[in-house]
Amino acid sequence: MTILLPVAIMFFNMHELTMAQAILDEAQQQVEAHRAHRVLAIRLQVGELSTAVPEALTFSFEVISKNTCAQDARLDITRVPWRIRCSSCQKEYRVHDRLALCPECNSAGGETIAGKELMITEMEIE
Amino acid sequence: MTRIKVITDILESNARIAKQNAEIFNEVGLYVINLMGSPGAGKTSLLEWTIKALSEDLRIGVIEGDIQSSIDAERISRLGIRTVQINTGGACHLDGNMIRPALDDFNLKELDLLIVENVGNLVCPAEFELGEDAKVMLLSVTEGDDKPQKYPLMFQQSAVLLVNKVDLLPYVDCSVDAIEERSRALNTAIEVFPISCKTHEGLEAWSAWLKKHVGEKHEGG
Repeated sequence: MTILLPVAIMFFNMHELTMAQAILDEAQQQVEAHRAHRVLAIRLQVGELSTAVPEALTFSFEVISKNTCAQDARLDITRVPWRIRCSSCQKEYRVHDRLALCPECNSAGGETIAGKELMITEMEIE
Repeated sequence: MTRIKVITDILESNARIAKQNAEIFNEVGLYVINLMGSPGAGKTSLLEWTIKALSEDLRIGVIEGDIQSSIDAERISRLGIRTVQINTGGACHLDGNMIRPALDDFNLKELDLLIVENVGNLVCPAEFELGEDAKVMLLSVTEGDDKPQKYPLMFQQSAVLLVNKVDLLPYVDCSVDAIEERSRALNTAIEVFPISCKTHEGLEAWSAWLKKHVGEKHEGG
């Protein structure tokens, strides 16, 4: 009753490759849509909670963008701070390093309002 | 040079596939859980117990995700459960696309519950949707009570946290209360069940939770 299903993926031991591929797909679509020739820069927002490592993302992108319109494109990655809205007093505050108590009312935690981003926000093409 | 605004979620293509998977599951009223946790936390042992406890009442299918080997699928299929093993060949998580071909190996209409055991990892499985109804996370007390602080995303995304190996609490410096408190600070709605797959402590509460949710989806679907 056991069925083996190997999934063929490039042998990169990291999920940033999947993300880099999605960025490249989007870049190629934009170049085509705007009848441009190449991508100069791609601006990204990566939240502090995201599991993407900017260095690994940049490296993966360099590897897979070879010989495409996005070769040599610069990835400008902005880390978005982790922010919480306190579940008791609704104060919004930034979390440094690890979840701490609300600076206003001392209660623990709340809803995460920023920090999970993994977004392309802007591209420079020509 | 042209500057263009393109507000695009990088994981959008995965989210789209996950949504299609969810539609497939919803059509047949199938409840799907994405079981996540560290290597050695006891995911497969939990599965074995859960299957033994529920297989008289529910029709269960299992997808096993591992980097390498079919050891887990062999363990589960010994219980007479249809099991599909996905070997990711190095990738650290399952994504929506990877489980799609596996779905063809089941007759989904004849299942009530599909359990997807993700690759053992506390990092990226949290970020990739599969189309599941609930993410269930398993943490063992031997891993320590600081894990919610170290891997916050995992705890934020999970509907249920099972704290396994509580029979070992006398021998380790770990507080289940601290795990619970820190998890709730990240995710107020998280359901926490302290369990032991060895002594079976707490497992009834977990299977009752699961049965209730499978039933609700079945009635709705």
